[in-house]
Amino acid sequence: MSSCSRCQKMMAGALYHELVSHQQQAFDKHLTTCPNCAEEYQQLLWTLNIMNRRQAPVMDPAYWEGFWNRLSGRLEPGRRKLFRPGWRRWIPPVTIPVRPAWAPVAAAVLLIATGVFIGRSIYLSQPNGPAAANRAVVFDPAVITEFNGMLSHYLGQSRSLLLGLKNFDTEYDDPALLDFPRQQMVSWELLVQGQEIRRHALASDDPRLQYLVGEIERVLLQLANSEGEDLEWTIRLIQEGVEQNAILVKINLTEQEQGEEVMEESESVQSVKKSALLI
Amino acid sequence: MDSHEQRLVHRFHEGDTAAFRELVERCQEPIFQLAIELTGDWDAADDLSQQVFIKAYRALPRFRGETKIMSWLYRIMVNTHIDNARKERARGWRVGPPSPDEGQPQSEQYASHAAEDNPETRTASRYMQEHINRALETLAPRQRSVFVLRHYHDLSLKEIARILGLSVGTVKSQLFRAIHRMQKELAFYRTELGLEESL
Repeated sequence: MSSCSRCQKMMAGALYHELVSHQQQAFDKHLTTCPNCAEEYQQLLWTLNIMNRRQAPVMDPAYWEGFWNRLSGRLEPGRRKLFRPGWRRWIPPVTIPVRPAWAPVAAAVLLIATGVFIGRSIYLSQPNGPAAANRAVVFDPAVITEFNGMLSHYLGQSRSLLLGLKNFDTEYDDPALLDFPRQQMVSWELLVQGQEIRRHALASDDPRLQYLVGEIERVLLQLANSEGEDLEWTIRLIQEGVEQNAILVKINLTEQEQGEEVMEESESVQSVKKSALLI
Repeated sequence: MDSHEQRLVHRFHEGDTAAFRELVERCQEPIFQLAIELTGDWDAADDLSQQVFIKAYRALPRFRGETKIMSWLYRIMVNTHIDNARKERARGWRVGPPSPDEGQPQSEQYASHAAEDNPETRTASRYMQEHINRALETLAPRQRSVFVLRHYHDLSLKEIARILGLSVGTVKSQLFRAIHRMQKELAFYRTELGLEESL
């Protein structure tokens, strides 16, 4: 990393006197040798001086009295006017008596009993249980191969798209280079594929993949739904979403795991072929 | 959290709702100031401050006092502000700099800004206030939050990172970009008005 880019990274800390002493020394030393950075620092310092001239609003004491009155009105649910559709005006309001102490326990018991009843009736009506049916589909080798192909394509495309956006510098890069309409089209395609993958992940009981697809989906939606009028902000939102959820790392891990699974599958298919030849 | 705040929260946990009013009165001014800095609009700031206190009222029973009340409220405010901005965007409402007629005090209940006797100075000052506010408006919600928390509320970069749930590095880069952006917006003062020497 060049000393100028190191200096840029320290600039915000320097402007607000938040550098530790050795950083401050390195920063000051760089400024004495680099007129560009020194000029930039002066300009930013000057900008902060201008921003210091902002006058904070001074509120009238009466405003604060009104503030509490309005707030307390919104805090008390009893004071709020509830919206009731026209036809409900003819139905008298139902008053629920004070809840007895044993009510939560009774509700929990009732909920568990209902769950057990529903579960038993499903399993009794379907000898191998509903999961078996899903598993039958999921463990079909043809389905697995097709799904692996789709997943690999989905992850690869998502990674390329998100990586491109993550590395885009909103300050210095030209937004025209992004080809935004094409990025949006790709993100729509990925959203459709994501639905299919999520359905498959649900059937094969893979919560991690479901979760990852959900996270990718949330980021892609921001891109797909953007009208392009504030591209910079959209890109920043996507960058934050990708960074905060470590999506690229998760994509890499999933790809790695998927690669290992494919290897295992091909090995098992080969061993089956070998044993068939021996017979 | 200081001992007085602790007592207030404890009283609230014990069912004393009057403690909440004390808490609001203690925090309302800085919260409103932050709301104005984030929204740039008096009515929106009023509504945002109220939303923050309503959310705090509902969440206070679960507040365990690991952070200062103020930092906790700042966090609620920034998240609420970013959510509101996203919702407005989704609805296709304008989120951006107001028109030149907007951004003025909308009611007589707000006291006037610091008075300056000379009419010329007053006008120049008013324009500068408008430019400063407009420079703030150009920032994206999170960038703006980082800037106002550091510059006007004097929170350290670490505190801001904790409040916003970001790394210190991200806060630094957001802050750097925010100042850069405003420098471009306000360059006019330096190049055309030559105000550099007077600062």
